[in-house]
Amino acid sequence: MIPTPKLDHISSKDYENVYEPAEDTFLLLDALEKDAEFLRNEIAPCISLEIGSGTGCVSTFLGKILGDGKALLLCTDINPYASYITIKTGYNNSIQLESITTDLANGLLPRLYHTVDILCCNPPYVVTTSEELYSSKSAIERAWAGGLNGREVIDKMLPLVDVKYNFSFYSFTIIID
Amino acid sequence: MRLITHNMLQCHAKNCNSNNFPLQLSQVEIVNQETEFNPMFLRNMLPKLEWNALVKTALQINVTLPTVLPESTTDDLDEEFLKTLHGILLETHILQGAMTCPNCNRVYPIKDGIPNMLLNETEA
Repeated sequence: MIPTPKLDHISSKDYENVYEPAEDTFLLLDALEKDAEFLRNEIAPCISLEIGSGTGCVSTFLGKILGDGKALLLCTDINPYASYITIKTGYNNSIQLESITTDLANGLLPRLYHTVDILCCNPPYVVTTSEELYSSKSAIERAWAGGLNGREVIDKMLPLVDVKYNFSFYSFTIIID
Repeated sequence: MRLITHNMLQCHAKNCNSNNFPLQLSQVEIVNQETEFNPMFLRNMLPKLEWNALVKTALQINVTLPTVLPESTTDDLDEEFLKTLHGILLETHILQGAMTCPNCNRVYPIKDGIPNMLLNETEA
């Protein structure tokens, strides 16, 4: 049993700016834990990329599964505040994470073409209008606003990982119908 | 941001598609933090590194690496070399600074150890 990362360094004030781990996050952690042995022994990743790391809870958990220093754990988030909390969460759990403030994987591609071993993402999927997604001034809204059908961010992301950049990857993505 | 991550970053401004890597470091505040030496990780990482970019970047912080990656197979790369690599890639943290695209001169800031690769609407 791998314990859920310690998040006691994050205040309720912080959660006004960064997505608080919720049921969907924990489902993702469960999925990773279920495949812990496979992740460690079969994939044995060298580079992991998490898109939209939020608190950094997921990559920290992955780091716990693999062991600190066994893989480079890259974490992107469009919200600078989330990038900052991500690093702190890693630190609070003795896992070295690498935060990059960016949209999706911008600034890492095409350099990381064929180079990422695991991609983790808990994408925003709540149905909103397109406008809500793109004109949103609040960072926290970007953490859950999924645009039309809740699919706009996911649809932007899928070709990145699946076709266009053809990562060798195992994706743990939660998609609701 | 450790130098290993810098080796992954490139400019993505609109129409900036060539000579946009590696981003040139300037005004950096660097701190070295010891971390456990893991030769296996380094051996696995070697083929994923852009060696020329790393050599160039290391020079910017006054570290000289061999211009050509030692010829030996990754299994018997000498430990001394791997330790140097470990220090450069995994123990060198850039806390503050700037990264400039060699092609379009777009500057990406690094603040509190976090590179900011966001572009504004007109640049993307």
